[in-house]
Amino acid sequence: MLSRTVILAIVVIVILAVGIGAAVVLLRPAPAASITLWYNSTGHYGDTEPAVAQLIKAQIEATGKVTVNLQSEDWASYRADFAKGNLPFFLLGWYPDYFDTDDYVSPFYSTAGAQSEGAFYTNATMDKWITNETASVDPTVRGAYFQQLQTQSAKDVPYIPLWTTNAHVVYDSDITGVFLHPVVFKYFIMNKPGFDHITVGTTDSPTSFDPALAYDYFSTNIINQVFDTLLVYEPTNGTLLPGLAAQVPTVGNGISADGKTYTFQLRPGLTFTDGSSLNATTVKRAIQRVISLNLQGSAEFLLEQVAALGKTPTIDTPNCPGPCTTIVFHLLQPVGLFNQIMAFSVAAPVPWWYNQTGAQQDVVNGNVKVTGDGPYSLASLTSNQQYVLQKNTNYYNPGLYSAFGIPTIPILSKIIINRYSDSSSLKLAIQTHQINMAYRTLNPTDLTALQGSAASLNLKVDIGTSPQIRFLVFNVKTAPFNDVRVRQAIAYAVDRSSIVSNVFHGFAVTLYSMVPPGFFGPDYSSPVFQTAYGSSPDVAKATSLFSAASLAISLSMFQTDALERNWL
Amino acid sequence: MPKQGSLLAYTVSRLILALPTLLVLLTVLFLVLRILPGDPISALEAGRRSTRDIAADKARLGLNLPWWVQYPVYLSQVFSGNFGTSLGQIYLGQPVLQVILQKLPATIELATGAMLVATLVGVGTGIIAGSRRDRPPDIVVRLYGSIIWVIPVFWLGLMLQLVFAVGLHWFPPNLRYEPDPVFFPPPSHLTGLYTLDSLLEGRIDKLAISLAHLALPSLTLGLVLSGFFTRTVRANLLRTINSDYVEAARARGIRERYIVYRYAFRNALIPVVTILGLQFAILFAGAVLTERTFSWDGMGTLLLTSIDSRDYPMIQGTVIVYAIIIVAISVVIDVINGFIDPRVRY
Repeated sequence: MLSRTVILAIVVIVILAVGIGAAVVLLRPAPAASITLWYNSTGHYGDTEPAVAQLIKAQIEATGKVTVNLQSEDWASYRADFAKGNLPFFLLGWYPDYFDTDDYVSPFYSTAGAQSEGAFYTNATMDKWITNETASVDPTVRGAYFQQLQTQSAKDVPYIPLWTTNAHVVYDSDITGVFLHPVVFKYFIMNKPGFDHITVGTTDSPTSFDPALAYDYFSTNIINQVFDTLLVYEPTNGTLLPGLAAQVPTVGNGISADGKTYTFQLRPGLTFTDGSSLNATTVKRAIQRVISLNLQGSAEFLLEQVAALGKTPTIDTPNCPGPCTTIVFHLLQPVGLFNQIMAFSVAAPVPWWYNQTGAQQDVVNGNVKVTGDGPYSLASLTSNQQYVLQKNTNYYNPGLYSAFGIPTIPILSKIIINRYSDSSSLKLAIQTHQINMAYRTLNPTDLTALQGSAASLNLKVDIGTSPQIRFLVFNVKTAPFNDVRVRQAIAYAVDRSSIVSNVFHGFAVTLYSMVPPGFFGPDYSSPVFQTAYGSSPDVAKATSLFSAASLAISLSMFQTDALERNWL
Repeated sequence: MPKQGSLLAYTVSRLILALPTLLVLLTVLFLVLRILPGDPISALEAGRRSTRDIAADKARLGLNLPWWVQYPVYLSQVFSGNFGTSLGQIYLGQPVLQVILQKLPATIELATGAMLVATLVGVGTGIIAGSRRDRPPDIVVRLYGSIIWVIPVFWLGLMLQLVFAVGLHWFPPNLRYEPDPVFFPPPSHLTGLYTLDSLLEGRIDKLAISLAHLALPSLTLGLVLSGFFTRTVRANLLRTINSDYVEAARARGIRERYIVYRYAFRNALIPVVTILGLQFAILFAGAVLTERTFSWDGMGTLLLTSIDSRDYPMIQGTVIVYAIIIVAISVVIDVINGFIDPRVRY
């Protein structure tokens, strides 16, 4: 039988052992946790992406709490992986589909939009605000919703806005009428005295020139030279003007009081370049075609979902047969930005003979089959090599911009666009005057070099704002980013000015909201991230938030490692 | 039946052996593409459409099926000459074979130009070095052979562009032809080879423009390849110069120069024909980078853009055509070797 003293001693030893063990576990210094930042390695956003990732890594690691591993993938894998939710933290960019502030909000903060961006963020209140701002045409009402949406976005931080890129164009100094328009780069208002054509170099590749399929900048920009839409834009800004329509519908004059019916009056006697007629039934058929085809990778959802036309749109053509100039769209719900969508390339009418069972091939048996009604026609194309735009001598509205001091369009007879493989080839081409204009994309280093030698080379370099935004995305369903404190800590740690000056040599602008300032109509942008996190990094606050969230981060070490193993 | 050891029997056996080589290449290509993460539909649509829509599109194209179901379909299509239609952004819906036939002449023109430069420079420098062993020309050429072989193609291309296009304005910096078809209409499309088409059209001015554009890319790729020729020709020339029959010729008082060109050089060239075949594979790999540097719209550029958009049919088609060309060249080189050196037939 053990003595009471021995039993007491054993109890004390056990208690001490447990206490010391617990103290060791609880008081040991926290291991530096690791997170992985993903970026695209194949130049989808130019060749600056690795430098941006390195800078962000250094900025987050400055807190001393986290180490950041950098991982990259080619664009095809990248897109597939972020959509599947495989990337917990990554760099992404956005170029708007339609030119309304909503396109910087619903694709990111609506539940469906956030899923396609790989953020998987969901907030019922945000969804409700988005539905409400979409339905309204009242700038005051919309402004209030956009402010609430942006303020909440800075609290929840599913994304961190970083910068907007600058648009740029380099061209012979005697070319006039060059404007870096936020929506359409208008070749048809350019002139080069003594010449009837210009050659342009680009690094862009098109997908298709069928409005039912095209959904990338270069293709839609060419479509905008070759096809007119019901409404078009002013020469230098995003204000709408009548295009094929005789006037821009307004509430009471084309838009019903409930915002669910839009009536457009077409100009009479419209034709396509092949002579076939363009009337209300052609417009109706073209819109129905886009929705019924619903082609892979197209902007069909803009008509069906965003413009609320639905799967089987209700479109009336009350004065057909006859003048056939009135077209009435019945929407499933009020959509305040319907006019903007009618100015996007996806809504461009196409001739009756266009393929109704699939995308119209651009070239059939060597003949170009892209037929529009715009200032230019596509005279020839060699895929990924050369595209020739030729003046449409029967353009219905040469005086479109006469009120803006441009008496007639198009001015030049031909625009010859050649494709170059990368920025350095494009720079060489403009430097040696192989081409008259380089639009786009030159990297910041090449652009700086050209700026320096522009005068001696008789070139002009224009830098303008671009509606493209760049940002960080968190998959909010994945640890440690499911902890809002970790996302907020990173928001405190990032230094946008450093990225803009060191990587982009000043050819970018810091961005403090997913809604960039001053592009389309009323400016709803509010620098909510600047208000919430300051305009320069706050390492102390970032560190303290990382510390508060340290349990979540240490868990993430295992999660991150597990993910990386999956890639082997 | 052809007699064993005859050139015909040898040729037939090489052709039969080419088939399994092709089959292995096709299988490896198929597997590699499907092991890689990403697929054409996700590359086209991810981030813009729902995962359900993406899954439906994959199912429609059979991309969701297991590889052992896709494989026999793939093989039967390839062997029936049906390479399918493109699934990538740029060539979406266009027949793969049609696109390849558009781009192939550009690469053939570049490869021919580069091989010409490589052979002329490589053989020339090899002879200079081999016939002047350990003297200054030999040392310089050996140094050249080593350095040029390790220079990255894109770097050399960029340097040549800066010197000859930007600095001296001797040659255009890139593209296959002048970018302005109004002032400089390209030759009419007969073979797709701009130089040949210019000649067929009887237009010397167009030929001059085509050659000017061909100069820098050919020089870039040709110079890099020439290093290997230099070293091989030099080594073989040294071996033959020191052989007994050359010694015998010297003993008969024949002049050294005559010995080098008449006896040693001809025999030294036999192994060069063999490496010529091997060089073609390297040449096509180098052409991918050269084409990118010079915005040369050929098979290399096509391959790069197709890989980036996971355009399976286009990647498969391009690599199959590459494989067929290289296997065909190997067979031709084997037959030439069999013709000039009967020992290899046995």
